[in-house]
Amino acid sequence: MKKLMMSLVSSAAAITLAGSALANDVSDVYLGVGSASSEYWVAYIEGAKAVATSLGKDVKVIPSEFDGQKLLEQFGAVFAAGCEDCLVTVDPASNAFTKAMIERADAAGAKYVNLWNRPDEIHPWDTAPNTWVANISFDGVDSGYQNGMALCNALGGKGNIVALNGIPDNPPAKQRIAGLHKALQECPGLKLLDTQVGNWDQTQGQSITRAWLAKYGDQLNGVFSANDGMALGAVAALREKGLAGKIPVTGSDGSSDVIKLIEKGDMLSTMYIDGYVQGAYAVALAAAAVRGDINVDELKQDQRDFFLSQTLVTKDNAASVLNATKDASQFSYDALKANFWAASVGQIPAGANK
Amino acid sequence: MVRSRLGPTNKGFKLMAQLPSAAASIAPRYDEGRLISGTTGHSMKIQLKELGPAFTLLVLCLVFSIASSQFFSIANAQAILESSAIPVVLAVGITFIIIQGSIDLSIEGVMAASSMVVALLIANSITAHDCGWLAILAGPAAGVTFGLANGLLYTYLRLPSLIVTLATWFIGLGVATLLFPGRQPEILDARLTMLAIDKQFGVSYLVFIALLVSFIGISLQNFAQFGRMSFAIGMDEKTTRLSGNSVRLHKVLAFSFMGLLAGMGGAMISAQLAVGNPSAGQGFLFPTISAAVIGGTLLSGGKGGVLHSIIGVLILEVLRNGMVQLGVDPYLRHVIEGIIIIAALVVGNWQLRARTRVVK
Repeated sequence: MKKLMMSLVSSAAAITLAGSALANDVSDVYLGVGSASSEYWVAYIEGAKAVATSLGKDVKVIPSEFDGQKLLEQFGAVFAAGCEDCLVTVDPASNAFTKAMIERADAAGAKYVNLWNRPDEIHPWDTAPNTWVANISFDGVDSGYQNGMALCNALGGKGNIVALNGIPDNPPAKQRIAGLHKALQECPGLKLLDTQVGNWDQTQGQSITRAWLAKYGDQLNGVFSANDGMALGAVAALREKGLAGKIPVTGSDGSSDVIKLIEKGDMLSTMYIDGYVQGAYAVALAAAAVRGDINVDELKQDQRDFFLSQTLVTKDNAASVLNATKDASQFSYDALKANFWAASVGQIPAGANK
Repeated sequence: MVRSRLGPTNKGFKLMAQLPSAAASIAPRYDEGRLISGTTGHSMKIQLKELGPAFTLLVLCLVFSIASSQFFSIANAQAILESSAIPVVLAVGITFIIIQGSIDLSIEGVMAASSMVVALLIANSITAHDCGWLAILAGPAAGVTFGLANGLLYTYLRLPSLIVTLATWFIGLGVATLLFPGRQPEILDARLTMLAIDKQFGVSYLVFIALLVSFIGISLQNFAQFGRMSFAIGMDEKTTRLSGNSVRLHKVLAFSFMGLLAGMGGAMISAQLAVGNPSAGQGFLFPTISAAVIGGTLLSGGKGGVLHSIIGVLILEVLRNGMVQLGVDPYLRHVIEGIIIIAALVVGNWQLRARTRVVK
C-alpha cells in the first residue's frame, strides 16, 4: 500500500514537473515589500519593474509596513484567486511568516523568491522546492564588520564607541552587531562602552545619543549604528551639540541622505545595498523558473540561497555612488538571462539567520 | 426650549445643582457661553492626593541621581528636556480627548503627512518649492484638517473614535507615502532647522514651543469653557447634553486641537531631523497615550489634566534616559521599563480609583 502511495505521489510530482518544464508565460508579478515609502524599497520596486516591463508585465506592489500578519492577509487574497504561473517576491517581515508565505504560494501554483527573512533551518531546496526558487539577502555580518573597521581606522585604532542596535530579534540587527564585535576583536584599542536598542528608529537613535553625550561627554569618540535611520538620529543629536563631523558615525543601507552626509563629512561610512539590483534579479530568477529557462532541480545550493554584493561608502566613493544611475535597458530579462547570479557573492552560510 | 430651562440663568444653576450627577458640579454655569472666564476657585487648587505622579517623578530622579553620577547634571537635564519637547506637545492635545472619554490613534499618521508636507513645500533637495514660513505653517494646517475630519466623522457619523482615528491614521500614512518622492527630501531652509539647533538658555526653540503649548493647554483647561466642558463630557456626557450644551462642538474642537498639535509635532520632528520622513510619527502614539495615563488621566474620561500628562511624559523620558545612563542591558531595558510603568501607575494613581469608576 505504502509503495502504491509512493508511486502515485512520485508520478503526480513528475506530471507537475513536466508541466512546469513547458515554456509557460508569466501571468502576474507581485512584490511584497516592507514599505512603499523608503528609498531602498522604492529602488527595489524600480528594479523589479525594469525586468517585468521587459516581459510585458506590470508589477503589483503589496506593502506590509513590516507587519507579517498584514502581509499574509493581503497575499491570502491574491492566492485565493489563484496564482498559476505568477511571480511572487516577498520580504516576509520576520522569520515567523516565511514558511506560511511559501506554503500558500505553493498551494496557489506561484513561483516564489524570498528576501531577507529566512529561518536558519529551512532552505529553498528542502521546503516546497518547486515553488521556492531562491532566497536573496545581503550580508549583515560583513556590513557590521566593515563599518566597525572604518570606525577603527578613523579613530587611529583606539577610542570609545557606542552602538545603536535595531529590533533585537531581527536577523540583520543580530548580524550587524555580530559584525561589529568581529571588528572589535581585530581592533583591541576600540572599546564598546554601551549598546542600546533604537528599534531602527530615527527619533529613538537621537534621544539615546543625547543621553550618551550627557553621560560620556568628551570620552565618547564614535557611534556605530545598525542602520541609516538611527545614524541620522545620532547625527542630529551631535549637531545640537556642535559635534557633527567631529565624532564619526557609521550606518548601514546606503540611503542618499546619509551618503550626502558622508560627502559633507558629517558621517563616516555606510554599507550601500542595491535594492534595484536585488529587485531585478529576484524577478528575473522567478520568471526564469516559470518560463523554463532554469530548472530549479538542477540548481546548486549557492544558486538558490545567496548574498548580493554590497559597497562600503566612505568619503572617497560617496559622490560616485550617489550619482550612479541605473539604465533600465541593462536590466531587461534577456540581459540578465546571461547570468542570473552575476551580482551574487556566494551562498549564505549556515547560522547566518539565527 | 430646553436650553432656556436648564441654561445659564440662576434658576438653571439651582436646578443643576440638584442633579445627582457628578457632571452637574463641573458643568459650565453662570459663565456659560463665554470662551474665557474667571476661575471658579476649584479648578486651580491642586489637591494633595493628586500629587502621586509628581512624587513618582521625584523618586525616579532621586534614584537615578544616586545610581549614576552623570544623571544629575545640567547637560543631562537639557537632554531630557529636548527629548520631551515633542511628546509634551502631543500629550497636551491627547489630554483633552482622553478627558472627554475618546481616543485619538491618528497621531502618527498625521505627523507623517505633516512632516512630508512641510519638507516638500520648504526649500528642499527634491522639489523646487520654497515657501518659507508658510511651508512651516502648512504642517499644523494639514494637522487641523485631519483633526477636523476626525471630529466631524466621529460626531456626525456616530462612530467610535477608536475606529475613526484608526482609519485616519492609515490615511495619514497613505498620504505621506503618496507624497514620498523616492528619496527623503532634505530640508535646506535654515528657518526650520534652526528651531532645533539654535540654543537659548542651553535648550532649543522646540523646548520653548513645548512650554508655550503647555501654557496654552493649562489655560484652556482651567480658564476656558472648552476645558470644563471636556471634563463634563467625560464624566457624564448625557447630562451635559441634556443641560443644553453642545457636546458635539466641544468634541470637534478637541479633535481639531489634537490635529493642530500633531501637525506641529510633524513640523518639529522635521526640524530636528532636517529631512521629511514618512515614518516621522513612528513610535509616538503609545508613549503619548501612556504618558497621559501614567500622569493620572483616566482612559475612561473625566479625570486628569494637562499638567498630569506633562508629568507623565517626563516620567517616561527620565526613565528612558536614566536606563541609558546606567548602561542597563538593552534586552532588559524594556522589561524594567514595563515594570516601572506599572509600578508608577499603582503608586501614582491609586487614589484616583474612586468606587464608581470603571477601570478598563
